[in-house]
Amino acid sequence: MNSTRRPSGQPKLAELALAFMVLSLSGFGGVGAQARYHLVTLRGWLTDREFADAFGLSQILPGANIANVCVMVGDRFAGPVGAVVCLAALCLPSLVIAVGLMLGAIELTAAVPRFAAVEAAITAATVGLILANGLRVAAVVWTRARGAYAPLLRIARLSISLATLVLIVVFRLSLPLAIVTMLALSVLLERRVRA
Amino acid sequence: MTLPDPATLAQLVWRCVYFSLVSFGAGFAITIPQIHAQFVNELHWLTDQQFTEIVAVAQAAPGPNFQMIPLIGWRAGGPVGAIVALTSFAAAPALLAILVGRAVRNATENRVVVLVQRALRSVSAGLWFASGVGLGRAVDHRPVQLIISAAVALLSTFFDVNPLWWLLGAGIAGALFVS
Repeated sequence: MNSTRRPSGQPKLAELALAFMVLSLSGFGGVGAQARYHLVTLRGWLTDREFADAFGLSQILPGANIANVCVMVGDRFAGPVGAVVCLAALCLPSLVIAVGLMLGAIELTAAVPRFAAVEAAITAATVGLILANGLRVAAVVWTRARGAYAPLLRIARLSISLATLVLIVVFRLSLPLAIVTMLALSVLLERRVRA
Repeated sequence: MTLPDPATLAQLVWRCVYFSLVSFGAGFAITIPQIHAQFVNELHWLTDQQFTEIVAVAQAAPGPNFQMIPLIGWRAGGPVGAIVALTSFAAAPALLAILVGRAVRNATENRVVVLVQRALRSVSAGLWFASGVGLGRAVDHRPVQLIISAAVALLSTFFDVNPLWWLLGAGIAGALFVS
């Protein structure tokens, strides 16, 4: 399930813009959930690990995750202009649709009785996609633990993942605080691995 | 098309810059009450109903979930307001992402950077999970939705097909199993 395919060369600016527009227009209830498929599987611009690392950085930086990933990928392959163009491709086409819906004041929920049920089901699927992304990152973490203490290291790393989840979801710790705490613990763990 | 007055635009700019810096991806849903408090209760740019409508539209339309920010901008100052809101919301994090992204890419030999990046992966997996649970909590989570979420989580991990198929399947299931 880990794509080990090498990134397939340098995408052109137009290809980048098209990819982010398609990604954005296929995202219902969140675009980040689908980003890995488009950038890693479909286009082969990033490896699974590169995507996991870019997204990880995006999660600890302010701003929307997908916007940060978009900017990083755009800048990496086409410089600052690429970053701006990719961000525009991510935001503007879908915004036109959203403004249309808003101004049309289309009461979709009222007009189509089943619309609410369909929308809830699609969001539930997006939840599943997001969880699957977590599983894939966990898989990267799992397979990269080697050596005599690999089983212990795997358990310790997954404990950090689960503790992060629990701090945010159960204890409702603010995101920056949870990130700083768990990242500090994780760094302490990884330092011991190296030593 | 009349241009929005400079005072409104200035307000819009700094509020959007503020929200861009306090919202972390997984936590955007957490900032929605704050956004409501400022734009509806404090500035009165939108009615409660308009705000609810914008949240619903941002959810129903394709695209990133932060597009409610330019939609609010549109209500405050038309097309110019929308573009100003989007630019203000995107600019600071984008600049930071470019700088940090470059620094990390150029430091593959730096032991500290490599260490932190490795440490970040375990945390990142947890953040993905938290983000999924957070979105699940924000909407209906009756048995049908829970089953869909669990099924898509497992199936899409092993079958790496276009995620639109999962959304389509879920949509059909939602339409069929509605009570």
